[in-house]
Amino acid sequence: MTDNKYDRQLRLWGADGQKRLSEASILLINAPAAGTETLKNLILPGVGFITVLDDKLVEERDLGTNFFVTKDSIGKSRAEITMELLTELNEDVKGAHIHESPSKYINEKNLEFFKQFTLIIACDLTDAEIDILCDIGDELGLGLIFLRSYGMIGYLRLYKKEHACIQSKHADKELDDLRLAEPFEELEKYALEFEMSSLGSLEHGHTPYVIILIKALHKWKEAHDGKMPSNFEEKDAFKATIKEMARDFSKEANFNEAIENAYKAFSYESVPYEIQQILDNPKADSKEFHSNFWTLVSALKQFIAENGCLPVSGKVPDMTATSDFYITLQKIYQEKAKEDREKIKEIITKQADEKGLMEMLFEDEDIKVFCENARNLEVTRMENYKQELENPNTEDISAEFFDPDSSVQWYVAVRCAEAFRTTNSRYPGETKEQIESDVAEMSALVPDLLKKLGADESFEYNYDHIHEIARYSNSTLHNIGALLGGVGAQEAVKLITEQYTPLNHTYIFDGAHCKSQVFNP
Amino acid sequence: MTGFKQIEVVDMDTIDISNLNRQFLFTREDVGKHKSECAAKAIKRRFPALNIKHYVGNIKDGRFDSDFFKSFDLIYNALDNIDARKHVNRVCISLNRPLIDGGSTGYIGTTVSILKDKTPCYECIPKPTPKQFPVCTIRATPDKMIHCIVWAKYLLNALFGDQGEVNFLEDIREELSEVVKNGDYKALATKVFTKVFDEEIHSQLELRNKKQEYGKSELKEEEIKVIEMLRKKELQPLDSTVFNTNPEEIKYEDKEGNRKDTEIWDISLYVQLFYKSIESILTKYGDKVGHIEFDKDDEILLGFIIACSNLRAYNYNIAKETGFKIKEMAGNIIPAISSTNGIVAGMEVIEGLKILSGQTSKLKAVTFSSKNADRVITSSDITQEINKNCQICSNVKPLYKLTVDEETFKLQDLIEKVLKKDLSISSPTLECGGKIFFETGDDLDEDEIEEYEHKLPKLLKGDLNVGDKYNKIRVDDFLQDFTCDIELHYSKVVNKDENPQGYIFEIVVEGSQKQNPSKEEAKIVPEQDKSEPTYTCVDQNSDDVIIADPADICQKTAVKRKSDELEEIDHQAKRSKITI
Repeated sequence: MTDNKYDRQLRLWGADGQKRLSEASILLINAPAAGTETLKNLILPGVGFITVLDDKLVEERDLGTNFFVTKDSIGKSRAEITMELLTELNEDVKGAHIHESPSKYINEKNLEFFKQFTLIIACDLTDAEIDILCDIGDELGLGLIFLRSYGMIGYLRLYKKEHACIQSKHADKELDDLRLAEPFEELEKYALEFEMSSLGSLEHGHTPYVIILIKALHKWKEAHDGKMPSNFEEKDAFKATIKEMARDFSKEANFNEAIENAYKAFSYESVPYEIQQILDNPKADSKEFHSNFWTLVSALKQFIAENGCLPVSGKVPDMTATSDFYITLQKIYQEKAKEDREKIKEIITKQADEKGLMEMLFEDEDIKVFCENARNLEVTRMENYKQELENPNTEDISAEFFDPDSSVQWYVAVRCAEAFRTTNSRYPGETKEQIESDVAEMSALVPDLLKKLGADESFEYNYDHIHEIARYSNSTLHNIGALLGGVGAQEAVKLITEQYTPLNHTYIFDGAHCKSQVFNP
Repeated sequence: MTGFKQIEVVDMDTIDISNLNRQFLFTREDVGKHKSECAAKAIKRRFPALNIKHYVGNIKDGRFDSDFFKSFDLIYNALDNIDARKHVNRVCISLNRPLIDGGSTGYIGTTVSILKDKTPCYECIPKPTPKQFPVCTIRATPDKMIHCIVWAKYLLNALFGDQGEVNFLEDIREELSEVVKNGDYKALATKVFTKVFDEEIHSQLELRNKKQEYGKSELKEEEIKVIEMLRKKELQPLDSTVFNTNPEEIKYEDKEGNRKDTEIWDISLYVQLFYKSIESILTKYGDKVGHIEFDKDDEILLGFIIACSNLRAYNYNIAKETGFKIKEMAGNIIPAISSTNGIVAGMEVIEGLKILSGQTSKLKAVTFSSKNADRVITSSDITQEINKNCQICSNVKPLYKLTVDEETFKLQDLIEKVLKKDLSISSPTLECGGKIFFETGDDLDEDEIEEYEHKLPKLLKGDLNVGDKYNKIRVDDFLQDFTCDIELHYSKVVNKDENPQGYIFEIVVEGSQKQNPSKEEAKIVPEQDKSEPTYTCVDQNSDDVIIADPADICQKTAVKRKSDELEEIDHQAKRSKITI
């Protein structure tokens, strides 16, 4: 790190995330406020390369909504002006502009062109254009973010057919991997040979709960035909045995911790269901190269076949313990983790040989991160835009129609407005005179849409939303653009860094009530 | 860009390089310049017609008086500490000015609107207590890296910082102050090193043996505790003479001369960094020595902390940490990114427009959190949650009880520690038995200022006779419109070991009715009965949240809109002013 310009974000996504960001190439299609704000939020943290594709000229009205145009740029290429002003923000970022019609590139499905990018951010596209870009995204494995704004309403649609994420970093997930229920040999040996009865009161009260639990479980299993405590009564009885082990339960924090953490042993699965699903994906067995992620998963699968469990993460949470006990315990886990990593590495090399591929280039750090997160791997699959209405996933969204405050009403209005735009080649309500007839035309589309989305027949749609959308037309507010640009950039960073779970897949922001919701019809 | 015509920006800070990852109004050339000035200039370039004014200064300064605050229709807080937030909150509540407070942490952002009698104020909801560590753990029995870092920060203060700060390493300060003044860095570094990383550890080893020799009865209770804690520790003293403290080649730096902060080094390199840091502090900060404060973005001071905390960790057999991680822990660094700030700014403008158009019943506390897929903007209706016992926005006049040691407690302790730190008061006027004995403010003449300055280091009882006849002190802060009474008690039992701050401060509501101690009060009442004293180890001034950058908030101009409702907002917006 030669420069601490990025210090405050490295704390969030680390050197690995920063590297991916600095290698990413982003295409922005059309550059209204939401688009330039998104790019601003990617350029400041140091994305590698940006390209702005837009055939419009800067107009008077851009001045009031888009920070990245100036008065003397009126009449000039919006792609050029915004690209220039944006890249001024960070000397590490390079940029290019293309003053041409995006529709041309999209409609001719120019794969050669789109291939150069890591991620595409597209504003104000028509339904038809989004459909084609989704197809292009599928073919090239690209992430796509579509942004639209209608007055106080912001709309974001994320699409990536399959997104693999190694570091999901869920706060509510267990990041430690203590193997209490199925301790590996070295750990079990250490715990069972750990002599507690001769310890002084200080050490007794500072014996790590890991040791207490492994001892207690071992004893329990011996008395119960090798079975774990399974029902409520048994679990309670098990906890009681821990209490008995303590000399003074009220004062020994470690025994309290043992009881609090007993669930980690009860709920332990050697291979969690979600991970098994990923392993069952044909790509995990494929002889072809798909991506680094699937190469690692394929090695993981073989590791499990050989060892019956996932590699040990090596992470030990903070616990009541003397420094020496803690350090010893930590060493046992870390050494096992290292051993498992070495095995994975061997498998990768072997598999690469078998597949006739050149030796895979993985840094030790990549393998380490993968093994540490092996219990939390995530593969997100998203519906494409066309399917959303042709074959909607009504399971979740139909429930929204029972909630009178749900933003699903805005979702319906947005889809109707875009359907109107497809038919009429213009936004509804572009002039005051048009509003009434446009509202009528859009309203006629509502019942059919509701039916498709699985809305209950008793549901009464509030047509004020249709009216508002027509009134907003395609007007843009800077603050809504800023907000949408913030959300868009956050999601872009998640896709690029493959850290944190991206939203799946439609996001509606309702500025009038300052609230937002995610839908995935 | 929303159409505000008059904006004023207040900020005391200068631009740091680490701001550039989220501040789009600043460039690399602006590093070191004043934030408010650069932000105003950048905005002016884009909006020449805008009337924008900037101030370099602390919002708590006397010049930002009630007339100043009254001239705004809307005030935005983009602050990074609780103290200043409380101050602006009090001023805005007393003047009935709408305030919007925002902040962000990583992917999470939040904005809260504050309007007297319509919403809760900033102090209606108690703020979480900073994390505390027992003094004993920091001073004698550390077992985690954070304990070593906290200790290192105290060592920095004891050697080079202000004397007024509470510091349990007072003995080191006294013993070494002469050596520090001499400016011989080699002598100083060797002295400090030998004392803290070698002799002290040896004496702990001895203490441990002593117990085996004498048994419990001859030792003090505190010593026994320390011995108990130390018994299982592997103590490793460090002898500076075995290290090469003046190497030809600095191995902890890369070819470009940057410290390798992402790596863990051999112990000898931390010794070298320690010597180098002391040299740099004395040679580069010569005149500032005696007033140095830790700043996480100051590479030299950070180097000192990295070296000291790792050396201490070695002493106590605690795993070493990288400089990168130590910076995060020592500076309480909260991740900050451009996108979240953009979201916060967008939300803040929406809330501001609601206030200006009179839609106050629609105000929300809005939180944006999007780390994971399912969590997005949630807003809660805050209008119903006003705390009727709030000392700021309700009519409760609080009464406090202060117990101090008459032999040591000075007027400056009362002002700096109790009033400014514990009560977040910025310009106090003190009255006892109808007589004013201390004032602050811009309207004082020079004689008065001198007289009060002179009083500061005096003992409250012995020199100033405060509390002889009347034991109630009336405290007024006219700027904050804050008044309270403090009942003063003198006692000799205020033991420094148990109350490191040197006093006991409790709240009693008017009519001596005990209030349920909230979390916040727990913070300002030092523990009394517990055998192990606790110590507030997190700086009051450290960043509790990094705030949406002022730059993000002030970009607003006229917008073409269709809605009549919005046009009305526009009209309102034109005559409003903003401060940050």
